[in-house]
Amino acid sequence: MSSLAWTQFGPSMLTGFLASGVEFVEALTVVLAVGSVRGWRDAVVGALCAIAVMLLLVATLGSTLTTIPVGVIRVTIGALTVMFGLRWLHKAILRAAGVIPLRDEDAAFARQTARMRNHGPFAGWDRTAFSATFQVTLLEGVEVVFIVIAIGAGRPTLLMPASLGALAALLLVAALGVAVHRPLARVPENSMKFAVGILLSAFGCFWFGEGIGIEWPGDDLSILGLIGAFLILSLTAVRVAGR
Amino acid sequence: MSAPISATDRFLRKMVGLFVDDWRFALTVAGWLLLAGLLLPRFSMAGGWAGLILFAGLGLILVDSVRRQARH
Repeated sequence: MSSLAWTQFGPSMLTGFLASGVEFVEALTVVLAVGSVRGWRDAVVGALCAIAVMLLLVATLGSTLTTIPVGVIRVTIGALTVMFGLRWLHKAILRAAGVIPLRDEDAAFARQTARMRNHGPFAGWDRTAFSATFQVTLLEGVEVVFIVIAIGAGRPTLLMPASLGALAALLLVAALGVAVHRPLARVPENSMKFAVGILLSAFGCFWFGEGIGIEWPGDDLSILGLIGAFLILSLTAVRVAGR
Repeated sequence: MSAPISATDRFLRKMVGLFVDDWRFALTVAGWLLLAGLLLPRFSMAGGWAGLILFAGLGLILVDSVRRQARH
């Protein structure tokens, strides 16, 4: 693979990995809370069913995108990716500057555990446990699906590295969850969100620009320049917000 | 029937929430993209100026929104 291909291959895999890591750490917290109160079988089955739906979505949408004209895809997905990436970056900057609080996985675990205890006892099939873990895994996973599809839409060859990155993070989070049986409160979620926000904003800006006919200097290498530019901008924004 | 409606509602909110936390910020970004999409292709700018203008607009919107929220 050429060095030019790696300028997109590496960041796309990293984006899939980090985004998936952030979202599945949040989903794991709920699965652990539900499983520890209501029992593991239906909680795990709910999460697995949601993962199956997500895989189906990626496979279906990924193949559908190849039928749409590339110019339309780049403008549309580029714009949506910029909006998605800047939203994550905006929130991560405010959290890094201390303007809004960081997410607390231990507190989320305690809240979810209390909520599950309020539900009545069950016999046999536990619909509450299944529904809770299915919904949270699917809702968190939708963001991962969007990111993977958006990356694959910008360059179809990047669908695989982005998917592999996302899958690697899912397996890692699941393995850690099985090993420690506690919320992964020490994972630097905001730093990961910060990085994903920068990467997606850079990808989106590049694809949107390509879609409207901008000729980027150095072609694909401009993506690395945009990543660096968004990084400097974001660090500056943290300082501005923290004053 | 209340549980399925609630789940659908949550899903729709999540869909919108993929792109919008702060409506003012999201609409400003969308507006800038629309403006850039309409205007930048009309000017043939060499040397990456069009890309720089696109990035600069997004950067200004981000920093301004962060600064505004930090003051509130």
